[in-house]
This record gives sequence, C-alpha cells and structure tokens, in this order.
Amino acid sequence: MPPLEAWEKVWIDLATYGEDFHAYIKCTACHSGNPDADDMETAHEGLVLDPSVAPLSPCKSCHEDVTVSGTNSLHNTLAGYDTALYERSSPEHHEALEYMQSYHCNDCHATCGDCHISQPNSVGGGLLEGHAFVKTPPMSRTCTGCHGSRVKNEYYGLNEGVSGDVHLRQARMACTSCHTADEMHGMGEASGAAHRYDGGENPSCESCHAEQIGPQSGIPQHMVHRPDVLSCQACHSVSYTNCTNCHVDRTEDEVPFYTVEAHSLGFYLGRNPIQSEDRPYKYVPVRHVPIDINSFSAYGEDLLVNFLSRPTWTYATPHNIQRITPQNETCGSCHGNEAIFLTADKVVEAERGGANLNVIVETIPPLFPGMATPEPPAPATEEADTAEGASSGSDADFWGSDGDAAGAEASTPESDADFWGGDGGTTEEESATPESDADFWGGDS
Amino acid sequence: MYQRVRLWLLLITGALLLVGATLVSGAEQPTGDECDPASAGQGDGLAPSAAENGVPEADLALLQAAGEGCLDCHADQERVKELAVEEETGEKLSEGPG
Repeated sequence: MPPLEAWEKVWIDLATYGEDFHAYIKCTACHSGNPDADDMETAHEGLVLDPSVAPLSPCKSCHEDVTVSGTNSLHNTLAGYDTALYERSSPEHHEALEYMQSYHCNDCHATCGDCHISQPNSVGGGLLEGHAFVKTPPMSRTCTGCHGSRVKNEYYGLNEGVSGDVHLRQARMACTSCHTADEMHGMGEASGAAHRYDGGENPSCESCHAEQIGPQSGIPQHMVHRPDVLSCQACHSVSYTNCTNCHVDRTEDEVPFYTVEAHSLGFYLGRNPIQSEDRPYKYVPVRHVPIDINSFSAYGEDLLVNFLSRPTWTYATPHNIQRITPQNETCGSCHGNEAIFLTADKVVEAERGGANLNVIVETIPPLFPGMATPEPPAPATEEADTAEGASSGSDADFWGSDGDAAGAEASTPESDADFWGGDGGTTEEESATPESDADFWGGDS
Repeated sequence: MYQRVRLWLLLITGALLLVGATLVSGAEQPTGDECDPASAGQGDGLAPSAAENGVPEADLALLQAAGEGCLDCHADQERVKELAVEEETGEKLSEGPG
C-alpha cells in the first residue's frame, strides 16, 4: 500500500463527506483549534489531530457502547504485548519495558479513527475517504496497515511459492467477515481480554464449518482425527513466517527502529502450549515469535529475566488456509515424518528449556502398516509410483521448496482443480483409516 | 408608551427567533439526544468545488456552518496541494519484517 501524498491525507472530499452525518458537526467540536483565526498557523493552534485517541473521545457522545468497550479492547490497550513481556520479565523491570513501549509500541494503538476515518499511523496515516466515516474499515488500508508483515502476506499469498488463503482467493472474504465488530471493539467474549488467545476461539472455523468437523462430518480425515487432537490449522494451513528475533533501539535523535536479524518460512506442528477446554488440541502449528532474550537490551540489562516463562515457539493460527496441504495429502505426511514436527533439534540450544518444553514434540506419531505414504502427483512410470520414491526425507523434499520437481509439484498444484483435489483420493484414504483413534495415534492420544 | 414599544419589540424579536429555530430544526437532523450537530457557525464559505462535487444545495449552508472556515482550505484540493507539507518522521532505519 503506497503512502498517501501529504495533501491526500488532509483533503476533505465533500462528495463523500457531505453525505456523512458527521459533516454537520462542527470541526472544532472534535478537533479543537481556533475557528476565529485568519491564518493557517493560528487556526491550527491546539488542534487535536486524532480526537478519538482521548479516553473520553467525542465519539462517546453518540457511540458510547463501542467507545467504552473499544477503549478496553486489545486493539487499544495492546494488553497482549504487556501480558507476554511482563511474564518474561519481573516487576522491577516493568517500568523500563513501558518506557521501551513508548517508543516502539504506542504507534500501534488503534483508535476509533485509525480504522474508521484514516489509515493507521504505521503506514503514514491520512484520511480514508476524504474524512467520510467508513463503517466497515477497508481491509487493505486499515487491517493490513498494522498486520502487514505476516498476516497480510499469508492471506494475500505474497509469500513466495505459497498460495493465499482460500477464504480470500475463492470466497473473497475480508478480515471483517470473520473478525466481527464485537471482537474488534472488545465486546462480548472479547471483553477484557489480556491476550488474543484468551477465552474461546473467536472467530472459530466451527462457526461456518460445523458440519465438516468431527466424526459426523463424513470426511474420512476428519473422522479419524478427533477435533480435540488437531486444530483445523494443523492440517489446513501452510508455510508461514517465523521471526528468529527482533531487537529494538533508538537513535540519538530519539528515532525508534527495530532489526529482525533472521526470519524464514516454515511449518511445524508442536504440542499445544495453551491447551484448555476452549483449545483442547494436542498438536497445533507453532511459530517462533520475534523475541530474543536481548530484544530490549537497549533499554536495560536483563529485562527479560524470565525469558522462557513463555515459549518462544507459540500457538499459531496462520492465515493461509487451504483445503489440500502438504500435510493432509497422505497419512505419511505427518505420521512418521519428523520433518513436520517441532523436535528439539529444530530449537536453538539456548531455548531448549522452560516453557518451550511444553511445545517440543518428543515422540512422533508413528506410521502404521496400511497407512498411506506421500505419493508423487503424476507418476510418469510405474516405477516412479512407489512409496519410497515419494517419501519425504527432508524439509525441502516435504515442502518442495528446494527439492526436486516432483516434490515441488506435489506441494504446489498448478490449477484450482488440482489444488482442490476434486473427490479423488477417498478410496486410498479410506483404506488407510485405522480402526480407532488409539491405533491412529499410537496409543498416545 | 416607551415601555409598550419595548415590550412589542421583545415579543417580535422572540417570535422571529422561534420561527428561525423552527426552520433550522426542520432541516435534516440526526437522531439521538446526545449528539451535537452544528446548527450555526462562522464559516466564510465553502470551496467553490462543493456544488460541483454533488453536495445538495440545501446541505451547503449546514456544511458551511459546521465547517467553521476549515473547509475553505481542507475541501479545496488545489489549496491543500499547495499548503500541505509532509511531516518529518525521521530516518527509516528498521530492517526486516515488522
């Protein structure tokens, strides 16, 4: 999203704004300033650029419900960051962390205006529709303005070799199709949340796909994998971004900046670190969050004294859902395939402890006789159509990134028909269906 | 006699104010008791492009009142192009996805 020109950011388009009720409220009622001035500088004295940033913003006079709840929403409080950082720290360092956040996090607070009137500051700000108030914020100019580096790339399919989310590609769904106004405004279940994964799943796949979940779905893979064993994303999401670390600092002129030294695309299933009644899954996709024990060392030594109180590999809900994925092609894609699981060897030595021990997979679900193993998509000869020829020996083979052509084709179908797989494979999957969950999970479930 | 004239003048002024208030409240108004739409202002006039932009003539007066003169510049594309200056946001030093 290219930044707006300076004039575009402040131009009031009367064609749109003139039709908006808010246009008939005095400018100074929200923005203050000096309406009696004769020159620009004096007119702007005391100007409030974003009136909705105030705790009791003018929005409240008409929209009390969402304004009050929105003030306590994660979008406004960023409580999720506090929850995570404070748990890794200790009370005596909270002040230093708050100081750090004043440089690096406060631009991320989303006010009413950041979604409904203008673009967020993180992408340079500026009016969305000539100061008209937009009831449903446009995804590509507001949501992805802040959630642009990871979620946007996943959802839009901007990561090289990885398709965008089916909800966008096929259903043309915007963020707000799933993430409702109540959730955004911190109402209902989202009220008072201290972290985005607090409480039940909201949104949840089940709210639209209830009939396709569980034994009654008639879908063989869904019948053998109980919904309390695997999250939907475990089988239906693909490679996502893992950030190894992030360090923040500021220049002598107090200009904040950050450095992410390494990041990569990958997909790992780990043990669910936040297993609960609401999220009962045993295995979920896990990603490395952009944190390092020295991430904030520019603001004090050893600020994260309890660094591993939280895992560095965390519960993840990648936004690149596909029906057919490498891991759901055959049983052997996961069973007996260490490459897909977050085993200890994939975790850097300094992080192989603490809460990460609740995530690292020690025993890989075995591949039992009769279970299907990965196959090449279009075997040219009978000899090529063997389990051995198609088995995944390494990460690269499995994901087809740097592997041979057959591997790549297996992971990246060329047409929608290929991608969605039609009805094929059912017979093979059925023949591989073990008789009970215990069989399937090797008695480990 | 002088007192009667003052009384009549007061009554006429009050009646005129009532008529004026009725006319203003007859225009499109928002619902909601706590909303505070502008019913008067000191605007000096809208940008000439307002009518061209399809703003109904009846609404122009209200817009003008609410605009308080701000719209003279902010609704005039040529003027904001001339006057708007990009804020200095400092050097872009960050590296990596963020």
